[in-house]
Amino acid sequence: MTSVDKAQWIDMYRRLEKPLYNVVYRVIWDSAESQDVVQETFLRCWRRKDDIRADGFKALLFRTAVNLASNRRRRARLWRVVGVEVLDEIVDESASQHAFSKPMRDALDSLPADWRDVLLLTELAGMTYPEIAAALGIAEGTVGSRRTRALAQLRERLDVQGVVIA
Amino acid sequence: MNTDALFKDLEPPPGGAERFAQRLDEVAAEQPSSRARVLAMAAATAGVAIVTAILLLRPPEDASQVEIAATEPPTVDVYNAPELDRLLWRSSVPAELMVTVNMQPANVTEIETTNQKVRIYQIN
Repeated sequence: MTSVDKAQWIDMYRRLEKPLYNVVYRVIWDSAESQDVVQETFLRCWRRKDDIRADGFKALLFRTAVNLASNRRRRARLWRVVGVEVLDEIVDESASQHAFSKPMRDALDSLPADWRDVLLLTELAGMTYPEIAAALGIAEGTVGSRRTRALAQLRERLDVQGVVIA
Repeated sequence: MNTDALFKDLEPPPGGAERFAQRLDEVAAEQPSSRARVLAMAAATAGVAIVTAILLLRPPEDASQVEIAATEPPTVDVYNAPELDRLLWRSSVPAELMVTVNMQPANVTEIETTNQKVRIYQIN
């Protein structure tokens, strides 16, 4: 790896860490884990750098991040099932750091994963419908319909739970 | 119910880029061994292919050079690609418009519009 190559990847990381972190955080609700997932995302893309097409890079980056985050979430749930409660404590501590109440997190967590992924990419990644469609391998029309349904269900859940958002 | 608070911008923990640089170095240091394995496999495959070709097809003398060249991975300069200008907040350089009609280059004239987001061209 040349120093120029490394400097460019670090520059891309600096510019894109925040939107990726924001998406990943809403899946696993832990700041340190989220940052680790973002770094792992970049490392995986770096390993495949000879095969990456520039026009597909953004889609690859966010798809990898969402997949890695979903895998970590599944793993955490599995640990919870077998009785490792310490993970719950980690999540709660991290959530309070960013001031998200449990009902708010539960409302987002209750969405089907397909809908949640679309919603996070539209609201937090600043991606267009065609970019999201490419990232998730779905039709552009599906992006719009999933976003609409996800927002409707989210509002309904928040109303039912009586969540007051400052 | 307003859902904006759920999507407010969060700051990642500090030091992320520095830690990423460290991990990149670590991963890069591991690369040669796996890369060497891949190259060895590619060389072995190319060798078998060359011997087979020589025995069966009696190819021209420079066939081995062609085989070796084919194992080189394509290099793509992702960072400088214009497709990433918007993603990385760089100002884009507009590309020259090229239109072909029946496989021949055609002259194109831009027609003025009041909407800055709209471009209308006339093919002459």
